[in-house]
Amino acid sequence: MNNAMLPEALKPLVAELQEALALEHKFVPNLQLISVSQEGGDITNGIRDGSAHVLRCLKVWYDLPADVLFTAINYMDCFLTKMRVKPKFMACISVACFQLACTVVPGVTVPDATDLVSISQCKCSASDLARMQSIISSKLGIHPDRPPITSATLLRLYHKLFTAVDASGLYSSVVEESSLHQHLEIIACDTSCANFRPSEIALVLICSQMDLGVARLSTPHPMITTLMTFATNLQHLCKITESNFYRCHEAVLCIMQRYHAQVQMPYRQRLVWRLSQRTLQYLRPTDKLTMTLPTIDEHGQLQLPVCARNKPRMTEEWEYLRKYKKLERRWRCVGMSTKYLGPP
Amino acid sequence: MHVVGIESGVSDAVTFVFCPVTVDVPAAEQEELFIRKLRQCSIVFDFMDPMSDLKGKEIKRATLHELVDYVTTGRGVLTEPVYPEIIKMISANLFRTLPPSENPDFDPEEDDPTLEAAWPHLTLVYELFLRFLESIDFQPTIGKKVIDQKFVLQLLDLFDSEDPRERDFLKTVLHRIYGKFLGLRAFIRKQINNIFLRFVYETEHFNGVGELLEILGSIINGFALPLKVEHKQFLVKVLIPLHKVKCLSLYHAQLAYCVVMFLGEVEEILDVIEPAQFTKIQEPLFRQLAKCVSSPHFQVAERALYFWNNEYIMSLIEENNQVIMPIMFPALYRISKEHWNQTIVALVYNVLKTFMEMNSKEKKKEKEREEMWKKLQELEISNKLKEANSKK
Repeated sequence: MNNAMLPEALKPLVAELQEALALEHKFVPNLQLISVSQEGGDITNGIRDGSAHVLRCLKVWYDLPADVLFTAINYMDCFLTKMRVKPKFMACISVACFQLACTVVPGVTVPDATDLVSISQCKCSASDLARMQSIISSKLGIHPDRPPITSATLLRLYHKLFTAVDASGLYSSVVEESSLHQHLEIIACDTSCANFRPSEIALVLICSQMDLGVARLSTPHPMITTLMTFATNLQHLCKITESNFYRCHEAVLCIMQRYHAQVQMPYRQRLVWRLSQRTLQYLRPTDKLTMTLPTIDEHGQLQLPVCARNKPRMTEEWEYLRKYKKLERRWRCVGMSTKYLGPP
Repeated sequence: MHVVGIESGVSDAVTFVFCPVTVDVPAAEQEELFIRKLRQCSIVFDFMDPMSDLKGKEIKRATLHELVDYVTTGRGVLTEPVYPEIIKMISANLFRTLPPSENPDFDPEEDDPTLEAAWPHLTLVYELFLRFLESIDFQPTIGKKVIDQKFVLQLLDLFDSEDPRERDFLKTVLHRIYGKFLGLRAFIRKQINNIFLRFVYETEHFNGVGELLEILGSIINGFALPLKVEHKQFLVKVLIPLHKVKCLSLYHAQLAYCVVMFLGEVEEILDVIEPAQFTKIQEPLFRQLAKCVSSPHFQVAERALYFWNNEYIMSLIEENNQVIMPIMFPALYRISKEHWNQTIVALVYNVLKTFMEMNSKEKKKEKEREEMWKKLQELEISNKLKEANSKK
């Protein structure tokens, strides 16, 4: 893309893009995680992805901008690139990255540490988090004035560029911005794309969305070629090689396929459901029920078990309610339910 | 030794002497002896005065014990003439006006009961009654002549006894009667209905509700499908209203307790519900649940939020997310920002996380979840602005 050929409107955007591209390489991690840990001593892809999803939920919970999520995941991945850590520290690390991200993204109030510890169920203390923050911060050279360049940064820039050249309205008819960002979050939570450059991921995503959108058109649009050419020009400008583009494209498609196939989300967080003692006592009313009376058939005489005739009446048999195939309850005479998961 | 003649009705003139019914006694005489002993035991002693008639009380106790063994182990001892005698003896001992409670606010679940003073005899009378009903030789065709509606009515009155041991016996006795006398079943159900309705709408006091419900449990378990209209009506007109006996303000501990218990029941019902039935009730159910999770009474909110820790219910919600989410989210969002209790807020987070991990039919619903959360934030802000402006 020749600068002289650019329309005036695009020049500032391209300048911004080039600035981002220049800094991009500083923020690309190189995660080398395994998929299954033999003795449970290593961080796996699954553990990393699970943590990313927790951060995503926290972002929603605290009503924070998406940049907090992308920044936090970036810090997490870069830290994991440099340090080999034990799984038991993962929760603390990811939440500390989240806190750091809050200090770096403009206009964000950092959530209260005690509140964050409690809500995220990260099982460490606020001071643990503070310590971890300083470790990560110094290890990565984090500076509030130098937020990382993430795929979200690039996506926004690309989107503005495409919109700026979209005289025909084709782009805006096939690509929806919020949908783009939504999908980008899903991609960020998947290790398979963690090591690609943000510029690669963002461009691949836009191209995939365009492909899908164009494929849905009833008649081919005359401006499709123009749009595709623009995408290719951007690819060259960003110096994205064909092979990288291809590999990234494969990975993104794979993630999107799984996502749209409504596959169960793996790596679900084992949540602790903390209840008060009073409520625990009365969780299921029939848990305390002692059934001593045999069922009386509506149309028949009561048949008493022979043993009941001679024994004192106190030791009659249990009568189980087994009509319902899904019933798995225990009929016991107990004081407390065992539904409480996790430490008090 | 032989039985000395008894002055009936005058308790302190009784001087009957113990006479065991041994195997030496010929069969014909056995019946007569049995009946005489039953009549002896129809004399009721005064236990309010612990020192009176100690000897007579002991003899009666020993005789009752002997009779229990006799009915339990004897074969062919339940001859037809014996039936009315047994019932007469039982009636004499059991049917009495229950004393007024010493504690007008007595709660059978919580308070220590006033126990029956005459229990040493009563327990044996009940035991005998049960052995009689449960005996292999018991014939309902003969029994139904003496165990009639009038008898059953008097039995039902006794369920108001404060003594849990007595209620426990009564429960088993009535269960056996219901089981053996098909002709009395409709009558018994009707009377239990009436007791409950009086309890709910008039007195709010009856000690035997739990025991009667247990009997009903064994009856309901045996209902043939499809359920008769009468039984469905019973559910709606009697069982459900039983839940609202304590008609007090929403924040009263007892009603909150009932709501918490009821939520537990609802969860247990949902555990076994068919997906098709679930979709029929999901909207009113979750509208009510949304109110419960918003309750300032933390136990009610807690119990309602805990529904989301039930795998089966979660799978039902997932299938119908597009209906349920819009109902639940405003309430959840509001609580996440406003609730005073941190346990509740943590549970709401769990619910949100669970929603986010859901495998929904259309993935764009996931975007809607997040956008809804954001929209709700905007709504909160605009509402607060409106409030601020209207106050000016």
